[in-house]
Amino acid sequence: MLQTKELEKLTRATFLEAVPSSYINASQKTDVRMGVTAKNGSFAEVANKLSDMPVNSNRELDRVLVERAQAGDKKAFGLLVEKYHRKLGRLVGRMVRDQAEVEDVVQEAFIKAYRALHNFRGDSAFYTWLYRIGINTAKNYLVSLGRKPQVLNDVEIEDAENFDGVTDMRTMETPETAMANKQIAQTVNDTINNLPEELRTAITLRELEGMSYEEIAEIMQCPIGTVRSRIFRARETIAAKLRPMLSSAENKRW
Amino acid sequence: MKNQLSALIDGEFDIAEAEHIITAMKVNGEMKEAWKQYHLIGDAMRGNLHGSRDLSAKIMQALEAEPTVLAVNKQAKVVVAEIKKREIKTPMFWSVAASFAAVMFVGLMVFEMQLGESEDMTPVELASSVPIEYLQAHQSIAPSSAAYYIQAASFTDSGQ
Repeated sequence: MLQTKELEKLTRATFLEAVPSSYINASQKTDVRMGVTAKNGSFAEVANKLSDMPVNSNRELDRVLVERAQAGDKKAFGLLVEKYHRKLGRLVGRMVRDQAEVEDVVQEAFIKAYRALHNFRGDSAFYTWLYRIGINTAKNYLVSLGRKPQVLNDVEIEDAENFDGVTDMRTMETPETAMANKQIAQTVNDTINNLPEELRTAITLRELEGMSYEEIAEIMQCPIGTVRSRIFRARETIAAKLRPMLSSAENKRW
Repeated sequence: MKNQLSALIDGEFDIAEAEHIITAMKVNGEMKEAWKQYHLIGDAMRGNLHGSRDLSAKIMQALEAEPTVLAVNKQAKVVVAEIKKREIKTPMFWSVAASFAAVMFVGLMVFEMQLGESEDMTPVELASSVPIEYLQAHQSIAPSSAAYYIQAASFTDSGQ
């Protein structure tokens, strides 16, 4: 059975190694934002440190979608579900072991969040609020089964909120689900490796390092508009490879 | 429009200008799929793939049974105020302000000119101390339309 850590090895490490060395010097000079320099380390070492930092989740867009949902627009909430259900599943997976149970808890957490949406004032980020609902839902679920919930301390919750700090994913997936996810990860991996260097670097710096377009433009020494175009072209190339897989699996349980 | 969506996901597109993108994602299947696929790609790259792929569809199906939330709260008003505040900082605001200032300036100029003209129409005793003989002597070289007015305030047709 494929474990999540194996998938991580398939993706993150491979992509970071794929970043060309020609950008190493530039990244060492310009990574003031992260407060990290790599005087003696490789780019991959620096990138590994940086990868523990939160990826920009675009709070402003979330806020707009939440406001629309609060005004009765369920489809706007659906966009948030699409954006966060995997991340929330990953968080819940730290507490609930069985995959089917994880999905039940995630579904219940989203429903609770929707019901409580009128209480959300925007004082914190939407995902922070959502994750706390997810953690409480998981705890209540375990208590209802007579199991002792594993209490996440604040540091762990904070890690989880940062999306990528969670490495202790112990959920057991079904063989079918694991295989399907492995195929997607492999397709994404292969497509990225076959991308032109400038597209591969742009999408990697964006998705794994959470860098802004301005920062990427500085590292790649090109205009911001070029960065924007490269990231879009990379995404579209990968999406084109994924579409046949996703459409063939439509309405089919993975 | 997909390239704009890509930038919007990354927080690199002005949210105030994103209305058409958000609307398109709700009515255009291709845009909605792009939203799903772009997030899937990001999660796959970060090793965040797990669970069944139809989970989001199941969640939305369950949400359909939920009463629609209608919660216009204080926060929304605050947000609107913030947006208005942001708009003040935009070039659009300044262009409108500049146009208004220009109109006000031109209007003021016209008003002052009219005021000046009306003042010119009031009689002024310019030549009260000038001898009548002097004025009569110079009427011949003055413009015909002005000749009538260049005379002493105390002048009368009878020469008094």
